[in-house]
Amino acid sequence: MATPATTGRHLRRARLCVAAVLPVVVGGVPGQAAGIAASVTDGAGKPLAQAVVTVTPLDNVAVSPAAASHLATATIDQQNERFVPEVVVIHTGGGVVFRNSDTTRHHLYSFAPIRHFEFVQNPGDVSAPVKFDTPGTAAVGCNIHDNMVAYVDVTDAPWAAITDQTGHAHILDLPPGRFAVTVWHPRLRPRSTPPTQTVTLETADTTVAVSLPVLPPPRPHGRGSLY
Amino acid sequence: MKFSTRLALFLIALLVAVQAATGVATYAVIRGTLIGQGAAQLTSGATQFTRQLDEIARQMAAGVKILTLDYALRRAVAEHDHNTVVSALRNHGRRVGASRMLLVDTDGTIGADTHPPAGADRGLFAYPALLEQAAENQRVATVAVLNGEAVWLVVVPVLAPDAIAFVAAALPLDDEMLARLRVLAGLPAATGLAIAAPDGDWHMTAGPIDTALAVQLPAVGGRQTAEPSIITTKTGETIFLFRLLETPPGSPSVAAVMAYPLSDALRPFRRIIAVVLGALGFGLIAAMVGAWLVARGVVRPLEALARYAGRVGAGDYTSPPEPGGRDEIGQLSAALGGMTRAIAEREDHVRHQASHDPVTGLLNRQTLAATIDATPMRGSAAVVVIGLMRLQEIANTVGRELAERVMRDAATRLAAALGNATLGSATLGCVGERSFAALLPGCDADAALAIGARVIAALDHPYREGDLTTDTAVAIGVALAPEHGTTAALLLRRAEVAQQSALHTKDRAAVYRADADPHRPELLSLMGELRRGLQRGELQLYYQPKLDLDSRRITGAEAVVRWQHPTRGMISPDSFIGLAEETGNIGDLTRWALQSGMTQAALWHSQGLELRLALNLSVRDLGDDELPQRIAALLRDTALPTAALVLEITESAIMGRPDAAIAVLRRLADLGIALAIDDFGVGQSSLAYLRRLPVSELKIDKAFVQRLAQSPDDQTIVRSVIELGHSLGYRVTAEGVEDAVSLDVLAGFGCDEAQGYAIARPLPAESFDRFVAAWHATRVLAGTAPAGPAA
Repeated sequence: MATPATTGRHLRRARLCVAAVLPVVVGGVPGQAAGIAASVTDGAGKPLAQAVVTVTPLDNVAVSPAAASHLATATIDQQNERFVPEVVVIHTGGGVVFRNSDTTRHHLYSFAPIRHFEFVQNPGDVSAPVKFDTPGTAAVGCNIHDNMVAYVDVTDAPWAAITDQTGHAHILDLPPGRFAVTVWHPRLRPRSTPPTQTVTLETADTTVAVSLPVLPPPRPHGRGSLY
Repeated sequence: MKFSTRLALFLIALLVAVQAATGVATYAVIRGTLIGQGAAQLTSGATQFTRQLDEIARQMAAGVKILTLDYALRRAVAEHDHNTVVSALRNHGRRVGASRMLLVDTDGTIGADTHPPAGADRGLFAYPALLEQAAENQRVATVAVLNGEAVWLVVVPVLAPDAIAFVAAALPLDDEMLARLRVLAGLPAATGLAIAAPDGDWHMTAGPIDTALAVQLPAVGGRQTAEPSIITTKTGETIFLFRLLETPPGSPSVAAVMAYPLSDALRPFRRIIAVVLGALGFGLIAAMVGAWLVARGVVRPLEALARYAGRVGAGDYTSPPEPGGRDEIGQLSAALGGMTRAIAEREDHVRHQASHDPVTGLLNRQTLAATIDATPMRGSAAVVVIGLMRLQEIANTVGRELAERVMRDAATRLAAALGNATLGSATLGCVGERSFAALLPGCDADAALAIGARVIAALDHPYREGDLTTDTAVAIGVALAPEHGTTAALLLRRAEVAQQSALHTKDRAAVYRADADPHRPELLSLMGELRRGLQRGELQLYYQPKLDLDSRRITGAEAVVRWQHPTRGMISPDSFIGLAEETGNIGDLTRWALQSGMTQAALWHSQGLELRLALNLSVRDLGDDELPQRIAALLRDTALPTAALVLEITESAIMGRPDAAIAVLRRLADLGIALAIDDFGVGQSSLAYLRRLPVSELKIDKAFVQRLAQSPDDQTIVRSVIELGHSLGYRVTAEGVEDAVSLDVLAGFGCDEAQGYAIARPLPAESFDRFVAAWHATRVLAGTAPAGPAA
């Protein structure tokens, strides 16, 4: 649900700095409540899934509470020694519920500056929501299973969405006006700033294409050569 | 140098060369092989070394990985609990054997260090590239240089769950580690590590490698050497391998250096060398002995053959060559033997040819003479020469081959005749193209002549061949030993002289007479002695009285030369006049005779004895252009009346003479000198020719006069000649009157003058005077001659 944008907050991230090329296509979409369709690719042009697209209004725009509701809580499940989904985005103050649908115990932890926590979760357990009161990103891992990593992106931006396998994310019901669209990905090159684009939305949907330079996926633990 | 020595030296040199070549080749091959082995060992050892290094590093990396998974450490790192981190690192470092552990933040700064460098800030991690690799690959391990040391560096990310930091563990690659690695890798060589300084020089950081080798490293090049190479240092040659170890960007190069001293590589070689040298030495000695034996084995037979050849050369053809056998030496020996036999045969043949006449097969002159000389002469012996005097004529008429056949036939007949006559003890030979000779031992002159008669009888039968009949006209000359000579050569020569004189005799055989021999050696020097004799007055004129048959008075004298030789005694004119004519000495003689005779005659004239002097001229004198002037001069000098001189020339001398000679005669005649033909009747006179000559006298040859009293034929001839002469106006003198009867006969025929032994022999001048006086006195007393002035 599109809500008027609040004042955008500048998201500060400390990452390795790499310049991003951002072609912008602006097109009209019929309907009063327009949306932004984001298409994210990686440095090689391939669709990039699990990229977090946040939209911050640059004008004083009203934000409907409905917009915030689906970003209040996220659930991360543990199945087959993997987090599902691996990337969630919530509003600051929101929480993440961890569910253990796996057959093994999991020892969840995070040493993220924005939120430290750790607890052991038995199979079938569902945890209380873990609250994140500080914006930023937190990496969550399992002490027992080195390959399990999930990312929680805590954002102040009123609107956020995560790209699917095709690299697309759609943010709907946005009031017309100017917006800052920021894209973040867990594998964003270290010390690079998540790219932001300014979009002017009117009556039609606007498509935003973003190319993110991301690191290649890491090799799984237990395999690989010494060098 | 002796052949055997040369052969032995050659064999030894050959063997030494072969052995040396073998030894050198063996050495080279073995050395090459061992070096190759050493190099291969080095290469495989180097590979092993790196593999072991990897293994150790892998273990360490595993250990460090486990450390980084430790939850407590992760939490300590996340919470920036520096002290915990450091102690955990230190503790764990001991476990894994690292000398130093670092915690590196994601931005590259060193967060914790178990061995911080003194005084300095922790600073940045030296190899940020490793962090990236570690983040990608979960771990990275490499050789790197840290604080000037070569270390094995393992970098592992601390995942919580993202990489929040990196742990870097450094394993020192020091001498101990290298030694361990060397053992594990089975490297035979000393192994070391060298680090390249920024200026390109290398220096050894670890390992017992001679620093001198490090100096070699820049020379070897900054690139990896795939093959071991051999370098030479002070200590000797070393097989050297250099492997660059992979280092992260920004790190100085690190190289593993492996050196394998060649002396070590070649150590197993020494025994082989010793054995080979021993074998070589033994082989050499054996070869020397063998070579010496072979040389002897070859040389000995050759020496024997050389001695054999020497014997053959010295003329010994009979001793057999040695050695025998069927090998090559034996073949050579047999061939030499065959050659010797052939030589002996040829020599015999040649000797036979040299000593025998080729046509008749009899002994030749030389051999016969040698045989004769070699025969011991007891008593007398005769050498007989038998000549076929017409053989040249036969050869000219019917050819040489027939003449040879005639000779052969004659030889056969002669041998048969001699064999019968002398019972085979004669030695027969062929001494000339047409002459045979035989030695008849024990024969005197009569026996020899008797045998000669038999021979003549045998040879007189003409030789018949087909239609052809040839007479051979045999003549035989005999010389007796020891009277006529004691050497074969002399006897043969004298027999040949006798043969010449036998040619015209009835018997056709003659014995040598010294006085008839015109070839006596003493004659050779006669002319010189004649000249000397003339100078020394050995010659004297003797005068033979000439009787005027009419008045029975001595009216003339013929001067004849007598030579009283100091050693030879009286030499008769027959001996030297002819020779003087031949040799051109007659001129001197004639001049002397003219001078001497005319002087004497002049003297007689001055004493009242008026004689006509007759002097002999030779045909040579007629060739003397100045003779008339000289005689004219002499006549003036001696004051001899011209009419008192008569010059006598023999009939044969005057006939057919060239006009120049006739001219001289004319000039003499013009002077008023009387000329007489001497020895008239026995030559070839042409009366017509005679008539043209300025001659005024004829002297009948003594051949017609000597037996005038007994021979009617001679009387007829003489009377005819006298009449003829008178009718031609000549004065006629008879020479050689032997007895008084002949004198009377001659007087009866009308002969003008007579000369001969019946009157007187030639007398010396002083005797002549007395003779003439006595003759005239006798005649006066007998009343048959008018008285005249006593001489």
